[in-house]
Amino acid sequence: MMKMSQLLEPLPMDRQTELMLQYGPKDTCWAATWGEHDEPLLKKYFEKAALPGSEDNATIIEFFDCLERRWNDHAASLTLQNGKNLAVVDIAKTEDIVTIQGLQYLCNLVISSGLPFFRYHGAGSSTIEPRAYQQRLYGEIEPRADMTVGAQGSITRVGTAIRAIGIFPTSFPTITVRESAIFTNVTGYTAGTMLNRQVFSSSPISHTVNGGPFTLATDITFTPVTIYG
Amino acid sequence: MVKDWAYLAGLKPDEVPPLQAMIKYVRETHDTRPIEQFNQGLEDRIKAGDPSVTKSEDIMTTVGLQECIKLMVNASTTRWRYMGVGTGTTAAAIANTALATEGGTRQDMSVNGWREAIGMKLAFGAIWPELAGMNSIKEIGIFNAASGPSMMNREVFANNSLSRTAGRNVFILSVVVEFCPIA
Repeated sequence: MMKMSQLLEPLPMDRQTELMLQYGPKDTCWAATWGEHDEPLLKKYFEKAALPGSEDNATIIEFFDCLERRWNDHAASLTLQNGKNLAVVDIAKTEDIVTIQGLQYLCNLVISSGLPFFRYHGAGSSTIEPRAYQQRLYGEIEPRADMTVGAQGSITRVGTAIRAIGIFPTSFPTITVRESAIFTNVTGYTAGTMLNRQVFSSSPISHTVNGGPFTLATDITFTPVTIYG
Repeated sequence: MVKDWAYLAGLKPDEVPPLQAMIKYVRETHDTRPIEQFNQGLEDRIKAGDPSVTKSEDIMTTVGLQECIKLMVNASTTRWRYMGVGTGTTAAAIANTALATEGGTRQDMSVNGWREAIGMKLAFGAIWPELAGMNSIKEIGIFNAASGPSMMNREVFANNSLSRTAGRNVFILSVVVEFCPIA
């Protein structure tokens, strides 16, 4: 019989997860809550962000810089063209993992045309530790944010990184956001592929329905090497 | 991390028909096992000291990685299709945007080779027939256009290049780009 202390120990890490963490792309996610009345401004910000295009977009870079400044305990806000400010209320950050299936699918996207691409950002509340072989969020609450719609986020290239942002509206059901992922499909797990899984185990953010929107912002950075260091 | 390597082999003309049959099979079925077997065969020949096979472990370029990410996020539909060769021997660097001394005509891998995803790897290959282009290959790159940019990677065979007599040997080039070393 297992002792209680054994049950509370973290899951043993499999070899594939170890390799993905060591050699795979670096996967970082920020979860942020925004002010109660900020949803229209946030949507407007990303509708404007879509205009400069999907490469090295200064508005997207500014958004991620803002999240990182806030994470580092500095006051951080986004200023809109009309002079109004958008301020982060609460923030969480984690560095977790791209899945095996997700990275394989990215390779297919490089080679093959006509495949569905990663356009949906999902949120959940499970604390199950992330592993490279996982193919779902374990406490997901839908709907997922469609990042190709300006008011719901964006997915772009910045440098050698994929930067994906999902905006979850004020009306999204109450949730403690402890997990995040990017998907090819709009709902469920019977079809499609999950690109990554992020878990905010120690510092989740809390969202209350009608209490303000929240965002999930993911950066997946690739680095070329001649040898694995 | 993204790692990149390439094999260069000089084949006799009678080795070419089975290779062409393999390429046709891979293109039609997308069964990638023959590519892996072929690459393993080249690796074994290098270990056995076969002078007609050589290998380079250089690098994917920054521009190449950016173009791959554009394909991943649906910001581009221009895919990697051509392989170019040259005689330049300057060291490969991630900032490279072209071969140092490109020569001959780029091979269309959708006609004379393969381009496939194998798990977390990309595999590209091309045949240079007996009378096509260069007779000495010291650098290669994968491109998304028949001429000009963008170049995905640069592999340099500065001290281990192969030469041939035109009309007597065929070159085969096989490139692997690995996004994570998980089997």
